[in-house]
Amino acid sequence: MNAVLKIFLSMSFSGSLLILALLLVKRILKDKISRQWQYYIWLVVVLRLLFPFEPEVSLLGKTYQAVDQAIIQAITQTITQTAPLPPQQQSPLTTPGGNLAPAAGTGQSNGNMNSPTEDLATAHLFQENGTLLTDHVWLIWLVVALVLLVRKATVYQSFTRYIKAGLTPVSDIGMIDLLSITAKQAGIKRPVELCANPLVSSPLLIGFFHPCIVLPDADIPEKAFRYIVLHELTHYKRQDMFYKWLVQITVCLHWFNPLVHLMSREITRACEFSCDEAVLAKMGSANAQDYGKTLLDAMAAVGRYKENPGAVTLSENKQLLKERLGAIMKFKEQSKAVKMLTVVLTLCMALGASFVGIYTRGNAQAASTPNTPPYITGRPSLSLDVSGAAVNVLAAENDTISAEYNRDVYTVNISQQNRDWKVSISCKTSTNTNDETIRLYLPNVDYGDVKLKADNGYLTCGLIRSGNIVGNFNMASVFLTLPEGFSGSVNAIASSGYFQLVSRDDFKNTTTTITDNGDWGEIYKPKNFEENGNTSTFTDGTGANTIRVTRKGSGVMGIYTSDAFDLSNYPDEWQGKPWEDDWWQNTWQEDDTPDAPSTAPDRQSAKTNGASSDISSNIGQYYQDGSLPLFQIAFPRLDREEQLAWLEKIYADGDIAFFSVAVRGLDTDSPVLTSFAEKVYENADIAFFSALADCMDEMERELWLDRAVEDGNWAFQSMLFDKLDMKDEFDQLEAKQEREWAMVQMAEYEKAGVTMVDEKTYYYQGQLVNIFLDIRKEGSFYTLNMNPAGMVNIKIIRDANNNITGVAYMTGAEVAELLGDMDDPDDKR
Amino acid sequence: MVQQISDAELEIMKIVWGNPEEVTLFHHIMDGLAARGRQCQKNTLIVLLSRLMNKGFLSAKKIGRRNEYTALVSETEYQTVQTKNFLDKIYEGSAKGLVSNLIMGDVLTDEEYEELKRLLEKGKEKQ
Repeated sequence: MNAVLKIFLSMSFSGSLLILALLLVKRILKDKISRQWQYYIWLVVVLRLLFPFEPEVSLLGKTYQAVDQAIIQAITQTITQTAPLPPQQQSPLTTPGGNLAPAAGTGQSNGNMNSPTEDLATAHLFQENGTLLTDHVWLIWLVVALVLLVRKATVYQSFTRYIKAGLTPVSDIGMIDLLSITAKQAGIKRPVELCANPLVSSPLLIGFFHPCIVLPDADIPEKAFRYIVLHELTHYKRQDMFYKWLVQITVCLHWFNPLVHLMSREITRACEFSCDEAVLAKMGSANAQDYGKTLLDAMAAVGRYKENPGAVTLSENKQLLKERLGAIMKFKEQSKAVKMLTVVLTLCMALGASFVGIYTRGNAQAASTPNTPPYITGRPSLSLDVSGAAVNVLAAENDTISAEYNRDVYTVNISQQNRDWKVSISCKTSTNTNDETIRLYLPNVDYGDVKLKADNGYLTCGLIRSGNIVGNFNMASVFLTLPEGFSGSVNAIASSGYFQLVSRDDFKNTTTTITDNGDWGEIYKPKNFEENGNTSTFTDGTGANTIRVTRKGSGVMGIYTSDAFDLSNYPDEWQGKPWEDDWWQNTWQEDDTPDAPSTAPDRQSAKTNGASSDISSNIGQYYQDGSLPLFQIAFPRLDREEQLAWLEKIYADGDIAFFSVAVRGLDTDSPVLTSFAEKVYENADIAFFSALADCMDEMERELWLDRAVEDGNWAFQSMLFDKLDMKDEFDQLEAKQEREWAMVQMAEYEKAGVTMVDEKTYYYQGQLVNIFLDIRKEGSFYTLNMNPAGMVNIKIIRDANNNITGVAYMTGAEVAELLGDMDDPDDKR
Repeated sequence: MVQQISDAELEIMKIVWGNPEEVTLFHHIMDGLAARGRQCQKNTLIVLLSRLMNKGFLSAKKIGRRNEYTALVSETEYQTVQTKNFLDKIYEGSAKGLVSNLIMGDVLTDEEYEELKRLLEKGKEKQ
């Protein structure tokens, strides 16, 4: 809700700028420009103040952002320096001690950017109260706005009741008739009631659906009556009442902004001025003097009751009257130049209003620092540092951090002071073969800043439901899950390792940016992410939460929604793999040599520095556990013999997913690839060969294609043509082949006594054939034809070499089996 | 309670009462006013009619774009109330004073006087 208030503050600020600009314009062009314009132009400002629309580029968007950042930085500094303090983020209204009156000057242009030092001083005084206050500033703002609104409404109600109490309908039919005629001229279709009430000081109009003009006295000369009626009817015609209420609502919502109050007064004045102008435009300027006199007479008896709920005081009324009279006397038609000027000024105002912008999520997106915050004040901050250990984060039952772990292997330091919580976990031994994981119990609360650091380790965390998470992961496997309704931000850098981010609510109201600065490796992400160079973005709803993840070095990253995994090549199984106790082994210890602790060894050096011996012992574990990502990371680090051995093993197991991952880890010119391709080709395992072909260069693919064409191996040809982008050539070749083949087949059938008239009509010994079935031995290819007009069912019998040996009639059982197969869609090939 | 109505409103009521039909249409009233030399604007009549409705003299039934007006207060009812008001105000409720005034002011002719006398005696027998 503070976010809403923030938007309102920024709208108030933008609006204030416009108000100032407009007041300046008014001062300069007072009499030169149409009063109507002076009245209606305020509508632009009112709309700016009420609705948070904004264009893509806004002038102040960045400024608001910067201000926001500055405040937050100041706050965080304050927090770290002293005890948790209540930063006065929404300042002027939160002045502690309940001083909520919009003190002059504070709510203005700089109202929402109190200097941090001031905050500090006040904050010292009202620590706890202050925190409470800042958390509920929006509530105070809303309550005051509502109270004001209700008050306005009741005051208006009591006013109309007061008017209605002493109301006597004017019985002079002549006057009513004159009113009807004037109304008709003014273009008002509704019947207007005419009443007199000695309690009102000047003529006025009440009622929205049943308009009623109330006169102080029914005894008015006809000419004056016409002027008065026309004036009031003009108010009604222009729906000034509606405008006035819109302004009143604006004032209630922006009660803290004195400029808005000033604006309301200006509008009331402009309303009368423009109404006078409209009346005179209708009556002609010759009548100006009469009109002015009427106005003066009507106003003479002012002051018996404060009619206006907005309450213009007596003296102001007189002042206004003077100005109005002046304006009436000066009334003249507009020149063309002035009209042009009006148009230009209107455009300026409208553009100004939209470009002045407001503080919104859009700016949060454009911010240079991604870490734009939700509201974090007063929440505990958390720092979790994992080095060479496997940690599973679970929810604690109370507010204390605790851990279950093997004390022989791990060192765990927990410090939970005030709101500054720190956990650091490290491994005692340099080579850790222990597979025990640490259960870390964290309080399930809203967090402020959360720092997650994992170096050579394993970390699963699905607990943090709100907070600003900053993650630094290096050679680690991190599984971070954001629960449903997560609010806050994530800014994570994962270098060389596996990082998985799952959003349980599918990135609701979140702006997500994925940046790939890594070398080899991959990022799996949902389909609806928009790709642009090495970044992908996705915005949902308000986009208030921000997630930024960056991949560096070599590694795999997976960004997933709760269910819509887009894995392209891979089965779903390894998605969000649940924690398994013995799953992790501290494998990266060996890589993490003391002299180069944080740099990820790239794959070339990994291969040559002999570090692969340890990997080879672990890769088996990955394979067994079905951990595709870790396997993918480890595989390229093996030496050639081992790679080949693994390929053999996976191939023997027939696991295509692992196979393609492994093959991808090979170099394109690797001899392992070539030798293995030979073997797969021989076995005609097209799926596996396809995975291999993906990693071949074009030359090699063409070589294989030539061979496939030579061998007449259609499936391989098709696949290779496809991979070489030569689909058309394949189609041609295929068509040609098919024709030749059909000729051969016809001749073959002829020999066995079956005559083929066309592809659909077969005759056997002069009888039209109903079912014709010809199955080749290996079952890879068959011909089945059915002709309902046919009489006999036949099948071709072939020997082991696929040569036709004879023709037989099909038995009833055979036909039933065949047709049964046909009915089952799964068996249709 | 029957409220007071203005002369213009009474004019309208007379047209409604004078109409033998159950309901009176807008244009009938409009024509009636014109016939009495009191032409007025449509909206003026609407305003007056709505006042009469507020005072409980008329009810309106909207049928399509046509309003049908029905009198809720009959002419005699209105006269009775008005007379009573008149009596209360001027003669403090005493009809005797009124009659004597009528006679003294020569407002009543002899025939009228005899007629009234007969009526009074008839009323007495009834009781």
